[in-house]
Amino acid sequence: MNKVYIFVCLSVLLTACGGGGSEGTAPEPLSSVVKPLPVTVQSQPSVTEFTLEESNPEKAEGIIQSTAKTSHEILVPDGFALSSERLFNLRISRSEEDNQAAYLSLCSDYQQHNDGSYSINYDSCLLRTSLSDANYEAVITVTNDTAGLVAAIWFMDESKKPLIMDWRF
Amino acid sequence: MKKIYVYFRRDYWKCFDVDALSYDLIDYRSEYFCCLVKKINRPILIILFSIGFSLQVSAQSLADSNLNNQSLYASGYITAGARTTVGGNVQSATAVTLAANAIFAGNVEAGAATTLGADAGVVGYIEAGSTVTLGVAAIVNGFIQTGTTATVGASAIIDGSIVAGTTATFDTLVEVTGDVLAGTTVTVGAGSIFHGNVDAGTTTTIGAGVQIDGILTANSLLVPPVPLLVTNQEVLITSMQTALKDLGTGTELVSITFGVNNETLEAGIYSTIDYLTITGGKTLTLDGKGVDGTWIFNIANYLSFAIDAKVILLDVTDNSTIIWNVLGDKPGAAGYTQLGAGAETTGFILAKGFVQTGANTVIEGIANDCGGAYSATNFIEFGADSVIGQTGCTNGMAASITQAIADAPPEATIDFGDAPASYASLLDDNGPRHSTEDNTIFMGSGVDAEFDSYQFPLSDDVTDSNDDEDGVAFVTGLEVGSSALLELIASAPAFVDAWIDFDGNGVFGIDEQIADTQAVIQGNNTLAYDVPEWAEAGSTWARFRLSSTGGLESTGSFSDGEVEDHQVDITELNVSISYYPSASEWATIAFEDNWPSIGDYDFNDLVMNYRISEYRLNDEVIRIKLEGQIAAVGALHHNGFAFRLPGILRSTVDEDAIRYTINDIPQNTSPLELARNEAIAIVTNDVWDFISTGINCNYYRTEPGCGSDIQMSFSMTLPMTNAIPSLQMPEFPYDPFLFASDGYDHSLAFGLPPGRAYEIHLPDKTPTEAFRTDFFGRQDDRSEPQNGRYFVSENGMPWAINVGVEMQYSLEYMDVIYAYPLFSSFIANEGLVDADWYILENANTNNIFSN
Repeated sequence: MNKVYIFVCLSVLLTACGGGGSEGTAPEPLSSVVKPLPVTVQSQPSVTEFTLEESNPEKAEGIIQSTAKTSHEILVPDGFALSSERLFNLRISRSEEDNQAAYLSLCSDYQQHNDGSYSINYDSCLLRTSLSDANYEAVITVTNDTAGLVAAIWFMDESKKPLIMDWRF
Repeated sequence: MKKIYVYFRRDYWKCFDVDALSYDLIDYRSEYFCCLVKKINRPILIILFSIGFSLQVSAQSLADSNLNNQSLYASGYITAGARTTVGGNVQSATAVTLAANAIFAGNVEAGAATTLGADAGVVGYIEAGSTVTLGVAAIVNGFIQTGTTATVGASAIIDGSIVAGTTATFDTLVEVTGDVLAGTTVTVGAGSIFHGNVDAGTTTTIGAGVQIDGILTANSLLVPPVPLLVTNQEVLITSMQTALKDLGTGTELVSITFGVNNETLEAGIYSTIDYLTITGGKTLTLDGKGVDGTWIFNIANYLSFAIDAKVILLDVTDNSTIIWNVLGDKPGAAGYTQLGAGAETTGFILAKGFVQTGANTVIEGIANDCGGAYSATNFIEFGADSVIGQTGCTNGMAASITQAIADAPPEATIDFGDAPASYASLLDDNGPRHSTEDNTIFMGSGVDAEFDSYQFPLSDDVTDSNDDEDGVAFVTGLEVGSSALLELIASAPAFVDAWIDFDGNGVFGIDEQIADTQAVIQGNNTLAYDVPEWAEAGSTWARFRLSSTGGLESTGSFSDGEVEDHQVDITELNVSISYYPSASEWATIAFEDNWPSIGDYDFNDLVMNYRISEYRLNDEVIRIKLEGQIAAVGALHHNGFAFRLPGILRSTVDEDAIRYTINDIPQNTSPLELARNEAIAIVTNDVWDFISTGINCNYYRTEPGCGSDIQMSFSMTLPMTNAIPSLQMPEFPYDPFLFASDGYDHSLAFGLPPGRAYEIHLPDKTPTEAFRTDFFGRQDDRSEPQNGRYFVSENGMPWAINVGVEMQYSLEYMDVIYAYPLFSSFIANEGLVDADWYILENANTNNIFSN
């Protein structure tokens, strides 16, 4: 499984992106052209930042072809317990503008439309939590079948539009 | 007037009168005989034709139409490949062609030409708007009437009369039983035999050795009548198709998944929004349950039975009906039907477009009926060696479809909610309901109708595969004493009334209304509401009613709009929830229960679906919820199932506050296992206490044809007396495990029934304190507790696997590697390749269980 490390930040209008970088898979193009700002030294970013990083990423170094014709012939490598999930670290650093009462949902079933808007199935969430501090971190258990995740932050001030960020694995 | 006599075939043996002719004009096509009408003048005939035609048009009901008694009809041509047989009558608005040795057991009516290849045969009559051409040694048992020429090949036999508009030409050694009348010339080859009269409008040319038993007449005064035109039936077929569609969508079959595996359907109305295909070699079993039933398939695009796909009838009575209504009303759809070589189906195919088959195909009716195919706009082609209706069958399409339409139940027109009974969802309880007739006000993408509420844990979404509870999203959590937001999608400007059962008492109170005649716009609406301080944490229900006026109660009927009931989770303030695998999906743990012996690796001896919800406050777990269901039991051993919380003391759990339900029924006993130090939650001590096999089935949901609904589901909430710091909490999925039920043998490795001391865990999960560690190392087990290796064989293979989806597990005795070919690659590459080996897209669908 490829390591997925995507650092993307956005505000409602996707006006700027503050620092960061990526390894492995590049993020899908966003609907607006964004230019990174110089990395700033401040405790709170100018725009809200989302990071989703696999805890112990590993990458296959060449594919081993299995010759097993039946399960009786399968040889399991030492120490491999057939786990079907991985751990990811989710970090969110909210900008001062976004640092107000809000609620985060991290879900797996979603669709991004051509106009950049999202449809999210909130019954597919892996995490639901209110946000109070500017910085939030969580460890997420993600099963191997998960094709992508979307984070949606809704502000209790309903006049403020939600922040939405997604990662495709 | 020179020709005052006419030749008219429909009343050969009797004097005809107006009544008789009227009757015959409608019904004559079922007769095989023709007749020579005695002298009658043309004006009277024209009048009588007019009467008949008007009757026919006015009686456009199907039973009285020209489609009555037809097994095949096409607005285009009809062709039958070599040796193909058709049991009933055939009608084409254009041409009919039989290849060599093809046999039609009924009548043939063609708007244009009819052509029979060598040795082909028609048991009934042939009536063709233009030519009739018979190949060598062809046989026609009835009369032949043509608009123009009749050309008969050598050694052909016609056991009736022949009327040709222009010429009648016979090759050598032809035999004709009845009279021959040609508008112009009659030409007879040598050695032919005619048992009746031979009349030619102009000349006759008779070969050597010809035998004519009747009178040979040149310049005959008899006038060959013009064959009745075959009426184009596009309008009638289309109206039938529309009437069948109007019976309702019934159960929607999903085009991309239906027919991929063997399928079984009981009688009912089914529909697709696209095509319907049965994959090559797969079967569709129509299970009649021994009672009269009707299957109607309303198909929006095309119908395809791939090579060797077969429709199988199970306990279908003789009075049942099967209708394939291929509408082709999806934009751009042709509405055709195809059967690949060797495909077999039953019933009547009504297709907007063409019907085409490969070789060796079968279309037959139920019992003695012929079944058949009807193309509203196009051709019908059958490959060689096909069979359409068995010999001696009857044409029952008109009666069957008329009856099917008459007997169809009325379509539901009311939308109900599906919250549990206490919320008054049923019609008898004056449940909330909205008329769906001419309704344009709904939430989400649509609204569907039911005859009554399908109450939780049922849902009309499950019942008809259509999720219409899709208009409300709880975009923030519901936390006690906090504000919350939801998104509501409205189809039109309207008003919403909504309630949430905050106190969880099973009813919607006055003070639990969160929206009262609140106006919403078309599209997305964000609604804010408050969760009161007195709200109870836990699972509860919400009800939304959208209507043109608002002001609705939580019960009662209304003339438009929609009701949606949603199950929601209220938490304490600032509580976060982590889910495995997600808030609504299942993970699956599947066991081989022959431990410590290696089994057949079908991994279906016990299959459990489950999900875990973990509630945290201030980075501490304050409770967990375990939900699940028994998906399959493919073994006779008696096993229990439990979750262990590794490292969590039993005393950590607030036992008195546990809520445990099985099949939504509260359980009185604590699921926490007694006398253990660790917390072990017993779901059941014996899965067989809750399940039973189907008739003629050995197991539960693992054998072909042994599907059933889920018979046991559970929900268990375990609050903590002392909150558990997140770092001390075991990782998902904790430790779900199988154990042996007390008093039942399990393996020869143990002698006596091992009972609770026998456990199977996921690989490298330690056993519980109830396990007998001296079981390790027996038979094929190669656990090494000193090295942290548990429940693995010499090859490192486990006795349990865990995946993140509701896995479609292997059929009984089917090695998982045959069901999921990427399984071995996943293991060989230590999970870095083919990590999602267990998803349906990676399955060999022939080898997985299909309910």
